[in-house]
Amino acid sequence: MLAAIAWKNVWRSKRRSGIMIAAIAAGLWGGVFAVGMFTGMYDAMVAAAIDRNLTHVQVHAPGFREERLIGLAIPNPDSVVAAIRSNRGVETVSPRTVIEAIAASPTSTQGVSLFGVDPGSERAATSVSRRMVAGSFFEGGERTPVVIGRKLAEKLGVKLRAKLVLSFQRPDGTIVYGAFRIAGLFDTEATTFDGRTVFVRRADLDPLVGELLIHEIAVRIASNDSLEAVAGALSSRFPALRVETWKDLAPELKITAESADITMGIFLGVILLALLFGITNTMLMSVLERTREFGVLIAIGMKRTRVFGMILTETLFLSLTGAVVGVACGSATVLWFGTRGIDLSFFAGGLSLYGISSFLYPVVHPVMYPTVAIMVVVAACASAVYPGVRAVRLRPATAIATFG
Amino acid sequence: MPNGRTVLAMFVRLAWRNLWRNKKRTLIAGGSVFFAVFLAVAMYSMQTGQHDFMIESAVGMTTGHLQIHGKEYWEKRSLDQSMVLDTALLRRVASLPHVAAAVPRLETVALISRGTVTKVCPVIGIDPPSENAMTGIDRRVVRGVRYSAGGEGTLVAEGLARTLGVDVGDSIVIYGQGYQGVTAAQVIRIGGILHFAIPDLNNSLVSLRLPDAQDLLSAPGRITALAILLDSDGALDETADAIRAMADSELEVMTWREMMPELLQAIAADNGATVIMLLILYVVIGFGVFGTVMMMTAERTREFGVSIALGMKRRHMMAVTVIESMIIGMLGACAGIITSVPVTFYFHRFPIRLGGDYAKAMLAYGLEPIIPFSVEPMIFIGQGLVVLAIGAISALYPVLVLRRLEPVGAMRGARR
Amino acid sequence: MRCTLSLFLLATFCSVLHAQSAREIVRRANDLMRGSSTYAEIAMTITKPEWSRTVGMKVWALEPDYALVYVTAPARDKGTVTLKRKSEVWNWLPSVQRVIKIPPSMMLQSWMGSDFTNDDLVRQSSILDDYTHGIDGVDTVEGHPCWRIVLTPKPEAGVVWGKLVLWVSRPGYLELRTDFYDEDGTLVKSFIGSNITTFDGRTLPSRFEMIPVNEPGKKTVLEYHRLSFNVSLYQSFFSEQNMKRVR
Repeated sequence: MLAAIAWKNVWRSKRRSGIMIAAIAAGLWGGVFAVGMFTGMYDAMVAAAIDRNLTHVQVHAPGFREERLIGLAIPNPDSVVAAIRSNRGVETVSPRTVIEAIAASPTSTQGVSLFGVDPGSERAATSVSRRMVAGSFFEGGERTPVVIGRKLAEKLGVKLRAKLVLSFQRPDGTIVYGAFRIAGLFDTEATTFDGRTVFVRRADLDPLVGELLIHEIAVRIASNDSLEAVAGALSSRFPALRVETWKDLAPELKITAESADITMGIFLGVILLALLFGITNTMLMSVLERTREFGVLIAIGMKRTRVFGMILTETLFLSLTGAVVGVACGSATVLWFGTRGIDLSFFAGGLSLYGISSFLYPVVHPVMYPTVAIMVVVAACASAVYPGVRAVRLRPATAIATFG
Repeated sequence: MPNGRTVLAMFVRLAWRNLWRNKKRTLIAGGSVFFAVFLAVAMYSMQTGQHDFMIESAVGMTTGHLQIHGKEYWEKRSLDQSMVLDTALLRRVASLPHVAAAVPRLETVALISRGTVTKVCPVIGIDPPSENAMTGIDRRVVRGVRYSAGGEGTLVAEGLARTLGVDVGDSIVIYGQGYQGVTAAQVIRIGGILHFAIPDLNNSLVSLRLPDAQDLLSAPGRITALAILLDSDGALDETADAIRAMADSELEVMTWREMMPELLQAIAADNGATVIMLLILYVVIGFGVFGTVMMMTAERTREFGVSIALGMKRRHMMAVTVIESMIIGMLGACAGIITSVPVTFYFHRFPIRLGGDYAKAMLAYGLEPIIPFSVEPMIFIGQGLVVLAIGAISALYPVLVLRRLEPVGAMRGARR
Repeated sequence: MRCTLSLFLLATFCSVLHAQSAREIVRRANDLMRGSSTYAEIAMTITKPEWSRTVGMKVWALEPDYALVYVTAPARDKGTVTLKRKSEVWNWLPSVQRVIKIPPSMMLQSWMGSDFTNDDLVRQSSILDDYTHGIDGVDTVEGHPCWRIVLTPKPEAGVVWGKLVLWVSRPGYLELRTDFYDEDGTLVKSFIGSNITTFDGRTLPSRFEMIPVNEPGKKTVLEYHRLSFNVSLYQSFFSEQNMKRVR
């Protein structure tokens, strides 16, 4: 009964209700869009690091990450790799030989991290193969190809197809030298990584090392949600090895992600406050405007609590309608920009130099829609309380007499 | 026939009277502008404050805002590119208006050895008082004696100490190459253990008092860099120019923007995101303000109708409503700015403190877990103007309504 | 047809002959500077744009795996000993009375501030086995008639150079100059021998200069003051204990 009256009231004054719905929808749209921006930014940052080299989970022999000694390899790597592959939730696995080596060109020598990889697995596990700026990631037919960062190539003063001599100490202490040809240059926008990372095929590296040594098994999983589950399963399966997630491997990434969450929370709060005040204002105006109407209702014997209830129900209807419109607009905006990207360099100078990463792709995790919608509806109803109280406190006689 | 000026004065008087005739309405409308300005200022102040804080903590922990070093040092990182610590230059730099600290450092890479364990480590000679003013190295001492407490000087990072199996009081060998390739080798007693959250540092850093490092490396009076901390990043370019003017051309002056391009990139990306956030906020605020104006107009439709029926010119009425909106907007914006000043200053002085695991993680990285606010004057003026612009656009609405108003229908109560 | 074929064969034969003799020339020049064991007293002068200094040293070497260097000057470095055994390097530091093994990551550090690195001490690229050799013509260096020999690295050899050009004096097999080129054919550095003297019955250049082309003002000069061949040395001489004893 009350709901019916309220519903009718909502549509009796189309303009007033339109404004309210638009304001609520705008608030919700802003909330959804902002969440999308933050999530997109954070997801992109984490995804970039994971895709570059980190992957979701890495397995090492204990002590390898600190000492990085060639002797600290994973025992029985083939069976470990096979066991990880068969694990549920694991997408791809890339076993790597990781050696601290020296790269020499005619004009310079540099210390580098040498990764011996199986090109197929590495291509599936990381994005380096998609970040080539010259040549390819082991797709050509060269003998003994090597793929290095563009930054490193600059430091060494070498170009595509130039020779690079890699040397390192074998586990027995002897030094071995290998001549490689630069088959590809990559640029991942991570300066340190690009400045000291070298990839060769394990097929070319194993004969130099003299044996099969796997120091790192990079594991990519199907979804970040199963991260802890997969890592837990792997570490109980291989108690003698160290199984770490990207959060352990890159703690600074975790901090950045969490600080983004906090900023997002604060911004949502500000949006809600703005919305709250906007709605309170509009409702207050509407109550003032309807003073005579409420006066009449109270005069003919309607209970004040019911009048109050009616106003709240009206607001609830308005905000629910606004929420539907807002979520629709918000998700449409996120979808639109999510595929096209927002070019941040348009808003901030100095970014254009960095190419691809200046684009922001908003993403909203499905759970956020109801969360934001409920927050907005609650805020809207809360903002109707004060105007409702004002309406209820009216003295009927004065109210009716008021020049509306 | 009254001239333009008196007409304007009359309109203003009329608008003023209208405003006070319905105080409640005026207060609500002014309140919406006030609140919009307040929120926009708070939001922008927080974002700017956070960026400043990001820069401040990053430069404070590492490079400083500016560095003076020998030509090509930044690229080659060799003692050959070190420079003489010119005390006159140091004094002149330190006396520049925005310089908070000038920190001399002598940095190289050497072997640190104990028994059969040998590691390659960065070794840095520091001047404890100025280093403490900038990076607060004493705060990182977890065992042993701090510099300020008269510690003898050689501090070793925790992870390195663990690898070497040493602790306070033990001796280590530092072996490297000094200036001009002279052998640098010394047995040094460990005075204290340092803790860093950044694993790379925690596993390798060794710090000495500057004179000890100069002696070890046969580089008397030489440093590899003079790091300069400013009191505000805003003074970066002017200070860099001033230092370039006083330093001779054999030295290079670099800003953190050149030394840490990745930080610059991160801030630029964040700035872009902030602009979009503000745009979103403006849309939400805009709807709030516009809604209020629309309601106000709707409520006054009958009044407008009556006035027109009584012979008042539409043009005049439009002028009066525009003046009313302007007055409301100005009052609201001024009130917003005036209120936001103490609030932002308060949070600037006493920033919001975060708690929980996140705060712990940040502290471990040497970052204060706080959200400070910025009090740049441009924030207040800029945001005030933006909201006023939103208000001005909203104020066009009653003008449009007045243009199409039918007095008779309006008087009959076409409020809806 | 037959004529063409025989011409082709002749050409092939000649180039083989040439190649062999080029390799032979390089081998003889190389052998001249080495013995199965050697003892040398050398002054190494390092010149950089900002400074220069001279390091005096005594060097014992047992080819190809062992070498021991005792530094005699300057005063601050006196007594420092470097020991090379196969691919490993140790240093004895008298000021701290310790032996320190150089870890792989430090092998790129310059040795005693020179243009040589620790890695250069142990890097074994064989001028004979890692290259193919060919005579490019005859030439004169500082008045000495020379063969000009081009060395091209074999594809799998761990050599960074695109080619080496050697000038070897025609009667005496003295290696008077070596030019190092990168793969684009740009000259990177030159190694020049001069000051021909007789040591231990062998006539040799006694002064060698290493000049990097792209770094003006930088060079390293080695001057041999004494050089003896086939001295009596045993593997046991190249030990950690002996590093501390040697003078």
